[in-house]
Amino acid sequence: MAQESAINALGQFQLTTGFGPVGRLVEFTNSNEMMLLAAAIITMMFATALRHRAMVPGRMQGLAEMSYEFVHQMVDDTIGHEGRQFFPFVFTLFAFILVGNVLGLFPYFFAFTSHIAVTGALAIFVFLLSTVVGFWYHGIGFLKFFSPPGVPGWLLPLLIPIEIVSFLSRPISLSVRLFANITAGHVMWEVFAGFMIMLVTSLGAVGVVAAIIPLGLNIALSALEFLVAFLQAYVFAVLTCLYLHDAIHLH
Amino acid sequence: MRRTTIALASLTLGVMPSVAMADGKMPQMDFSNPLTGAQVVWMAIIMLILYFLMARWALPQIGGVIERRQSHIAADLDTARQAKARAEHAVAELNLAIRNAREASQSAIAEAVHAAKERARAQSVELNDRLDAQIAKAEAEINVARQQAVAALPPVARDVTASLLLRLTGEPADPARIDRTLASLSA
Repeated sequence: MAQESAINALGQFQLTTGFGPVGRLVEFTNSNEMMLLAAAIITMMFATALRHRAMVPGRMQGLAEMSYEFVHQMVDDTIGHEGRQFFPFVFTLFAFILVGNVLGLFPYFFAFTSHIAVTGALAIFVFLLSTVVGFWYHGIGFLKFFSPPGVPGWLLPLLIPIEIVSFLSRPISLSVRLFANITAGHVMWEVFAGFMIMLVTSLGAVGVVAAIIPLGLNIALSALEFLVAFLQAYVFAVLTCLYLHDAIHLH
Repeated sequence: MRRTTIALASLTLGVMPSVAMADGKMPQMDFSNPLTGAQVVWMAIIMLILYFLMARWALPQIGGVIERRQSHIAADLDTARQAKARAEHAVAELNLAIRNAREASQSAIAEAVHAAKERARAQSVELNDRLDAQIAKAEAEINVARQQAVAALPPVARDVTASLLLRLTGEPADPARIDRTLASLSA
């Protein structure tokens, strides 16, 4: 029993199909269930918020307005005036990742942001979008992005490859950052929890006392994971804004 | 902090590889599993729907609510500012009215005082005139009385002189001589 729990530290990330036989047929996974739940929660929040449209907002309306203004501020500050058209996209991204991260923290729920395929797809989409926007705004002149102004000519052969590599590594860092943070947190949780069970089964009464240490670590880790859930969603959204800013303004 | 998380995780994974990596493989890296790719396709569909819900419905609506509140607050502030301006205007008008009223009352008082003085002077002038007239009349009466008295004196003096002379001399005096003497004395 104890061995089984400890061994399955990565079992929580195993993809299965949801929604019974229909889900199996269309390969609708358990992570997609969580995505659907996240989308439903976001939609419900707005539906509740928009039911009253009060001059003095209630809790739900306050939450919706706060998130709206938070992301709006971020988009305005980071991208500038042209960022307005990307606001719905950045908001969707931020809300989706944030709710996904938080949902993943609940027991028996699935953290879809812990899958590199998911975060990678999001990051590649952001990368392609920012590149397309760059060429859309500047045409072929977007390539000037790779040669920063005010650099001596003899440095360019060295600098341009570095700039290109750093540009191409954006989707990798963007996706791995989110994936690694969420995965690491969940693995640590499970490892400490498994360690508690191992202590209790192997050391008996002494183990029960000793298990307080990993329990305390897990409690502290829970607080940290809530912070990470928000922070990673924020970082992802801010970096998306930053890339779009670079595409529009070229540095 | 993020780095600490990763470092801690890798440390844990390093310390207990048999525990963490018992399966030998992370499900996330199992790209041979068709579900790994399928979840991305479904995510694209879910996010597309969510995006259109947000972009077409939720965000414009919430933005409208926020904007309406801001315009409402701005209108209220504007109304308050206008009311303040009106109040200040009213206060200024009131002060002006008070000053005007004070000036008007002071001038009215001055006028009344002036009129009273005028009337008093006129009355006193009239009184003086009347008194002067009475004095003049009295003086005239006194003069008349005096003249009458003075006029009445010579016969009395003549009579007295005649009777005195009669008593002293025993004979009647000459009336013409008495008259002359009296005339020379009274002259």
